[in-house]
Amino acid sequence: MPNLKDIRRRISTVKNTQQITKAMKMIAAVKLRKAQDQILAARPYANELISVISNLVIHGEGKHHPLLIQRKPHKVRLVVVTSDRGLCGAYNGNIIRRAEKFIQEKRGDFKEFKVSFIGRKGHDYFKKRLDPSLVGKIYPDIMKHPSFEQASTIANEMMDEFLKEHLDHVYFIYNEFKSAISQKVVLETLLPTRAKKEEDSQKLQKIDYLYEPSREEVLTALLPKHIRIQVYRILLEAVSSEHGARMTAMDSATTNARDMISSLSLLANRIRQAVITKELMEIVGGAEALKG
Amino acid sequence: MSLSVTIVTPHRKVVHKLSVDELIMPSEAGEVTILPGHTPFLTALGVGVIRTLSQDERIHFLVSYGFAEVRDDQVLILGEDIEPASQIDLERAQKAKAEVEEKILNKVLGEIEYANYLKRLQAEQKRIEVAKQSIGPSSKKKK
Repeated sequence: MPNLKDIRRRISTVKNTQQITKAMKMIAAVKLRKAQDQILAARPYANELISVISNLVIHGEGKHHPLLIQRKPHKVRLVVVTSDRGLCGAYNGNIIRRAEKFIQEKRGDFKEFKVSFIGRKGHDYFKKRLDPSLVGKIYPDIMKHPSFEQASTIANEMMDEFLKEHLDHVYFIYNEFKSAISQKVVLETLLPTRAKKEEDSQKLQKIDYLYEPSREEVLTALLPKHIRIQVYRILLEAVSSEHGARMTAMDSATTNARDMISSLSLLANRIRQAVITKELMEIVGGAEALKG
Repeated sequence: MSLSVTIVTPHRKVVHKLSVDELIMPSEAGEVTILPGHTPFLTALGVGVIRTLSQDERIHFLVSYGFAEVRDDQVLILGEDIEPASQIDLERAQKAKAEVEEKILNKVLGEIEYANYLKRLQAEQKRIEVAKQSIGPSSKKKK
């Protein structure tokens, strides 16, 4: 029979763990709120930008802009967005699985291929498993608190390489935020930029704008902004998803701890009762023997 | 008739449908004044000050490298760095300028990087100018 003392000790251990998971859940909830506020603040900017660009590209001849040119994907970069820290359920696992699939399937099609990482977890995983020549740069310490400035730096780097034709395609794999309990792994093409789909274009009425200095130059001013905000959006989606995933994971951990505590206390009580019963039996037995 | 001005940055909406009589903004080719009834217009903005005029108020915004769309008396201004002139932090601007200057002087930079730093330097310079003006006696928000 298990020792009563041992069981009590286990109960208190589980209780401590439960306190930690509970606290982590609350923190994740607060951070999730903050990240969501950031998304909401960035959304009007992104939407207005994309509607103006779509208008320009669909009605104009802007298709020859260097950032819109579709080249055959020979030199390709994949950016894997994971978290810096663990304890967030299947969040990183899903991303890594998707990235692995992509690498396996497409590797052979590309002449030059590199994987970059935002967030430490993805890098930790792939640096051991991938051919070292495939492992590209890691952008550390971004997922803690992604700022527009950091997103701009990444976006500028990608655009630079794209314009120099060192890169033909840039893909991002990240978790899209659906709700606190559901995230969706998404593979998205950052470069070359595509305008909105055709069916949306019919809704946009043609407006004869006056351009200053010229249509090309307006587009040149707009496209980099668009790409920067896209990277920013991706980072924010990823961070929200991370906190959402962590919140759910910690919530179920807390529930599990509670179940464990209750079954352990039941066991402890039963043992205690058994000990008492045994003692009573002994006393009664002793008294009977004395009478005898 | 009046113009309705909306200014949006990635961080927040700076103003939403502010009603003004006249708007002056620094396009890359020079200053442009927009009055109600303007034809649809798209322009890239350089570094400078957006001025809005209405009967009882003048509000100034500092902009660096934004973009503006005018359509049906709606003015939409998008930029990564736009702030009301009254909210500029002079000290911070000076610090930022010093940082950029140091980078230009002490680092070996590629052509594109160099151009980017020059742009930033210009922006910070303007910021300081505007900040100094709005602190001075001719306060920007005067009626």
